Amino acid sequence: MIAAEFAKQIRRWRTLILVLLSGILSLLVAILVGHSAQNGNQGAGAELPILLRSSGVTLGIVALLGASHLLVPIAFTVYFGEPMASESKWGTLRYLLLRPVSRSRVLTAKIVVALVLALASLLLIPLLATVVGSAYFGLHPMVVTPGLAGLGLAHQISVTGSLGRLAMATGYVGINCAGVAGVAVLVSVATENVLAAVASGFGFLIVSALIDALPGSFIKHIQPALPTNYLDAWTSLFQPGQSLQPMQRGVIMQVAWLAVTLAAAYFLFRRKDIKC
Amino acid sequence: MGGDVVIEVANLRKSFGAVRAVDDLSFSVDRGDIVGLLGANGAGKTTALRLMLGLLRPQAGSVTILGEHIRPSAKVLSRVGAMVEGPGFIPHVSGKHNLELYWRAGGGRTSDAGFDEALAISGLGDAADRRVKTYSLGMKQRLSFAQAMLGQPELLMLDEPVNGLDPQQIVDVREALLQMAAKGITVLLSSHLLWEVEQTCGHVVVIDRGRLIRCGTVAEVTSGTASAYVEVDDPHRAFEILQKVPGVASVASSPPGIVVQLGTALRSDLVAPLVAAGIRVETVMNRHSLEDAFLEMVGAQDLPPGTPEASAQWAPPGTPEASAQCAPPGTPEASAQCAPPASPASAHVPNGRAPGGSQ
Repeated sequence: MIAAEFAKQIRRWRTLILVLLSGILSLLVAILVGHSAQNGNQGAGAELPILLRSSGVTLGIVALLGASHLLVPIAFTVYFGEPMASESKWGTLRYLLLRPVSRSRVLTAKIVVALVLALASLLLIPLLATVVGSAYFGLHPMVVTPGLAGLGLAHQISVTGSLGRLAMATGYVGINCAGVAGVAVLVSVATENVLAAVASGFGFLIVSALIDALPGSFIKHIQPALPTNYLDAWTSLFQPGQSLQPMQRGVIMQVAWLAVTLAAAYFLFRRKDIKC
Repeated sequence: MGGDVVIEVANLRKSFGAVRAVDDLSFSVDRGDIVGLLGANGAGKTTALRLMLGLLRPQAGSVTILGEHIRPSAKVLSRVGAMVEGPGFIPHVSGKHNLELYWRAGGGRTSDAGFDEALAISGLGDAADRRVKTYSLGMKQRLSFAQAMLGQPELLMLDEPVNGLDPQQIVDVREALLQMAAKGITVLLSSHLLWEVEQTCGHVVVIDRGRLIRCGTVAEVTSGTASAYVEVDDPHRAFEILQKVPGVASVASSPPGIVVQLGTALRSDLVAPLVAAGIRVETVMNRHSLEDAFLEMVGAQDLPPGTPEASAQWAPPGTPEASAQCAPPGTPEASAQCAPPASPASAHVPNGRAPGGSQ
């Protein structure tokens, strides 16, 4: 069933476009940042106090940071929210559910394939940028310079260590989209409308980011539960001495969002009347 | 009846908000029958089919297919082929690949599908390798018919299967259905094309506003309303002869021919005395008796005035007797006419043809 679902989704224009967008964005960021970093000791900003030209891995990190706020959430929303709603739009959902396969299995197959495609798009971003970065600067231990942002001593992270941290960061960015993906699946199952499913996932992200940015003592109590609250927590992986606790909280929060939304989606899908 | 009952619908009920789409619907279908599910637009045919296929959850009642209670994803659905509310295919994939994906998504083994046979029935030829988004409605409909045939189902549930087909394709579908019935495959055919149902189905189930009005063989349902149109070389003499044929209810002139209300007589009974009297018989035609019977049962008030269907298919408005024949379900009159589950009202008709059907 998963193979059939994969065959359905892999040939779609939206899959191709999202993969291409991920690739193009990654290459663009890597080439532009890499080119400008060739001529000076540039850092990647206060959030990422790394010396860009110290290693090709740095461009992978920068590309991931650039994509994690917009492109990756969009890709996750589309991959997770669109397949079920599309089946409704094409009129194939009723035929799919005429087969003696449990509705839970149908939904699981769609989620698994969406996850594979979303992760593939996500992985492409740091991977391509790191390849370009390696062409620019080679693969060397990465220099972390708190001094670029203020005072402090420079540290080095080995090639293996920096690649491992980049892999962890990529995984975290993916996990950070879990809540959005869950909302997209839930709305997709509930409304059978492609636009509503995709827009709701992204709208959810925007509302969360807006609330996250508001001041106020009451709002401060809500903010830790928002899916955007720990969006950039992964940058602490590249700042030796920084606590990884925000990342842990971010993972817990995303798992909670995912569990609630997916439980609601499965509950709804198993009981709903198929009218389309 | 026991093992021969393929579909058993018992007191099925489904509402959408304040609208009761299916209301206490009960009937049964025997193996090898071709049964027409008749009703005007909005009568509840498609809702009834969706309930029977587990796509909708009934508020009351039950459906049993091939001995298994129907619920979403019931195992027995692997033995059922269906077309529901038009074709549904992935537009960017070829017709052939669509069938493969449909079959594989259901967990079926490729060797059991019979893709080549199904595609042969569809008659799509090389077009099966084209993307579905390039198909006409008729082509999609034929592909949908092929999809329903996959895995050699024991039961076919087809919702308006000849929509969008040209006359030759309609004939092909009819022949295919009759061949399947001859092999013991049961067909439940929802349609509003009464002449098509009359030519294909042995039995009919008539519903209106979600309620069962009547079911039985086409001959039973049309009894008292069956008529024939006869054209001969000597209408005056033929008129007198036909009046004397046993079982004929009435004879009326309808230039250039004669309309005979058959009563208990068959159309074939009309020809022999005319030929014996030396009269040349040019034409003997069915007068859409199922259409007449249907209109008497449900009336024409369900149809929006001015719609093409109102004038072309359902023709004149309902007669005053319309409601008199249709006893409410659950009443003694209703159960006498409309077979409740576990009653032998759905007797098998050879080849699925009604005795009164046109030849």
